[in-house]
Amino acid sequence: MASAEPVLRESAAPASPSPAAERASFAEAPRVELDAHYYDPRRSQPVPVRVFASETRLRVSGAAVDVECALAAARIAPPVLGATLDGVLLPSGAKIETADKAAIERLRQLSGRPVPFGRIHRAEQSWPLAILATLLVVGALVVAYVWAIPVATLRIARASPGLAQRIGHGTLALLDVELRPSELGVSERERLQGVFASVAAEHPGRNLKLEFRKAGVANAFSLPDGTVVLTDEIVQLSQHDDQLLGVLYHEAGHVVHGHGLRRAVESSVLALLATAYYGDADQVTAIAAGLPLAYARSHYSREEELEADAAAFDGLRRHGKDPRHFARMLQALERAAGGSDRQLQYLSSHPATSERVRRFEATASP
Amino acid sequence: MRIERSVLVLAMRADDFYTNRYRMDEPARSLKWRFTGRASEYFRVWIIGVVLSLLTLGIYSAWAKVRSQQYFYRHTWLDGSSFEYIASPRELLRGRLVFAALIGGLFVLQVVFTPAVFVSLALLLAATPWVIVRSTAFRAKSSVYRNVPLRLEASASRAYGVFFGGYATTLLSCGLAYPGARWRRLEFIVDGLRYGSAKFVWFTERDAFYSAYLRATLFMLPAFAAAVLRPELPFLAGLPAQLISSGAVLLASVYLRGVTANLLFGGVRIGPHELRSRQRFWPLCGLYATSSLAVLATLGLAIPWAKVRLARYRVDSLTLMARGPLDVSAELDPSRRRGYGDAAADLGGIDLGIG
Repeated sequence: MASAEPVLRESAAPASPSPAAERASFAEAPRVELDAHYYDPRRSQPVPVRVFASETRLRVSGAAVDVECALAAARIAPPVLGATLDGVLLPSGAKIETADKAAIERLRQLSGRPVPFGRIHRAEQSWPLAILATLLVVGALVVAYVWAIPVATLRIARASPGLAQRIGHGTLALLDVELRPSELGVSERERLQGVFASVAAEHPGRNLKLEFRKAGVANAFSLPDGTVVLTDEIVQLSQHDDQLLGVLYHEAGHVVHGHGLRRAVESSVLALLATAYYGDADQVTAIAAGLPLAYARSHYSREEELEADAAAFDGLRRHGKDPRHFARMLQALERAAGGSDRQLQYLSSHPATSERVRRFEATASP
Repeated sequence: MRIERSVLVLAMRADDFYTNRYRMDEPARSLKWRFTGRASEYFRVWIIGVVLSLLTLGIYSAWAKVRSQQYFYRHTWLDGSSFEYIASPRELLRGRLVFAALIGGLFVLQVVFTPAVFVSLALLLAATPWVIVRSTAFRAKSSVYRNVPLRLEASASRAYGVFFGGYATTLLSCGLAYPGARWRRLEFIVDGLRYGSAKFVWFTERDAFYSAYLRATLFMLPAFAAAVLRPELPFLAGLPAQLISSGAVLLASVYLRGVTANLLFGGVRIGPHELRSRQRFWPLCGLYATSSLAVLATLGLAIPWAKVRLARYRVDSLTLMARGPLDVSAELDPSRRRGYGDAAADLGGIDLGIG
C-alpha cells in the first residue's frame, strides 16, 4: 500500500459507544482475531493486516492501515463449501479477505446479522440431507413421468376445449407456409369428404373437418381444433378407401382423446422440470441430459398412437370393415418410407409398425 | 477411405492449431489459474438447489443459480486470490420473470392472432443486441476480484451497428461471413470490458476465426462423404451413416468450442498483462464424451461432476502472463457500498453464453 494514501477511518455508528472506550475493549480481550488481506476501496492491492472484533466493533490494523467500524455495518460473505477465502465488506467499500474459515464463522456469530445463504449452507454440509434430496428428486421424476404429467395434462386438455380451437387454428395457418394446396381432383376430394362424414358424425361435439394439402410426403395429421389433414401423397399411396377410413379414425382418435393439447401441455411441464433440474448445464452435456426428456416425450407419443390405433380398430369394426385395412396402410407407409428418408417423419413418433400391425392381426382374426 | 484418414491426421494435429500465434516477448511472471472445486462438494450445493427449485415451481432457481456461481467463482484462483460472484438472486429472478412474461405474452398473442409470429420474431431480433450487452454488463459487475468488479462500457447504439452489420454480412454471404461477424461481436464486447483502471484489449485477428471455422468444416467431410456415397454403398445406409455424420458434427463442435475459447481468452490483454488459454482437442473430447455418458447413465445426477470437471479443465488451461503487480486503481461504485446481494439492478438472469 502506498504510504502517501490517506489512512481510512470509518465514521462511528451513531448509536455505538465512544471510539475511545471501544479501543480499550479491543486492548483487553478481542472476541475474534484473524489474519487477512485488506483492500482499499479504490485499489486492488492486497495489504496484510490483523483483524480484531469486539462485541460491537471491528478493527483492521496493519502497516499503513488502521481502520475501524461498527461490526453490525460489516457485510460478511455468504459461506461456501471447501477451502475458500471469505470476504468482509466494510461500509467504506474497503474489504478484507481471509482464509481463516473458523475465525470468520465466529465473526458471523458475533455480529448476529442474518447470514446470507446461512441455512442453505448448513443443509449443503450434510451428506444425509444430500442423499435424502437425491431420493426426493429421483422419486419426483418417477412420479411425474408415470403419473402426474399424463393425468394433469389430460385434465387441462379436457377442461379447456376453447383453447384447443384457437391453437389449432393458428397451427394450420403456420403449417400452410410450408404446405401447398392439394392437387387432388374435386371428385376424389368429395368422395373422401363423404368417407370422413361418417367418422365426423360419430363425434358431433368435436367440430371435425377434413382438409387436403400437398406436402411431398405421405402423411396424415390432426390438430387440436378437430382439423384432420390428409396429404395428396397418402391418398395416392392408399389402394382402398377403407385404408384411408382407418387413417381418418386414427386421426379423429387423436382429436377426441385431446392428444394435441396434451402434447403442448406436456412439453411445457417437461421444460419446467428441465430448467429446475439441468439449470445451466454445459451445452454439450445438456444434449445427454436432454435425452431422457426426449425419451419421455416419445414414450407419451407411443401411448397416444396406440390409443388412436384402438380408435381406428373400433371404427372399422363398427362399419363392418376389416380392421386389417389399416394394418395394410401402415405397411404401405413403411415401405414408402424405406425409399425416402423424408417419409420417415410420419413414423418417427410412432411405435414400430410391425408391432402395431401385429396388434391388429391378432385382435382381428378371431 | 483416404479422406477420412486425412481428417483423422488433421484432428490429431488439432492441438498445434490451438497455440496462440500472437504472443509478445516473454513477460516476467506466468501466473497459473487454478480451480479447486470438488464434485463431492458441488453435488450437495446442486441437489439442494434442485429440490428447492422443484418445490417452489422454479422460483428458487434464481437462488440456486447464484449459489452455484458463488461456489465456482470462490474456487477460481489467480495469484493467491479468488473471485467472487455478488449478483443478487432477486435481480436474477426479476430478469427471468420479465423475460418469461415477454415470451409468454408473445405466445398468447400469436395463438390469438397468427401473423403476430412475425412481430415476435422481429422483436426478438431487435432485442438481441440490447439483451446481450445488458446481460454481459450484469455478469461483469457481478464478478469481483480483489474488491474490484469488472465492468462493461459498451453503448447500445454501437452494439446495434455491430450486431446488425454482422447479420447483414452473414445473410448476404449465405453464412460464409459468419466467423467474421462473430469475431466482430466478441471484439466489441471484450474491448468494452474494464477491470478498474485497466482496459481490456482483444488482439485475436479475424483470420484466426475464419481458419478455425474452416478447420471445423473439414471435420464434417466424413459426414458429407457418407451422404454422397450412401446410394452406392448399402452398408453406409441407415444407422452407420447417421453415426458417422453425428459423430463428425460432435467432433466439429468440440473442436470449435476449444479453439474459440483459446482464441477468445488467449487474445485478451488486460492493462500490461496478457491471458493465455491452452485447451487441447483430445482431452476436451475425452472430457465431453465421459461427462455426457455419465450424465446420461445417471439421469442427470452426474451433472455436478461434469460441470466441476469442465470448469477445472477450462480454468486450469488459463495462464496470465503478468508484467509487474496486478493491482489496479478503481473508481468507487456507490452501489458497492450496499454490499453482497445488492448489485444495482440490471437485466440479470438472462445468461447468454457469448464465449
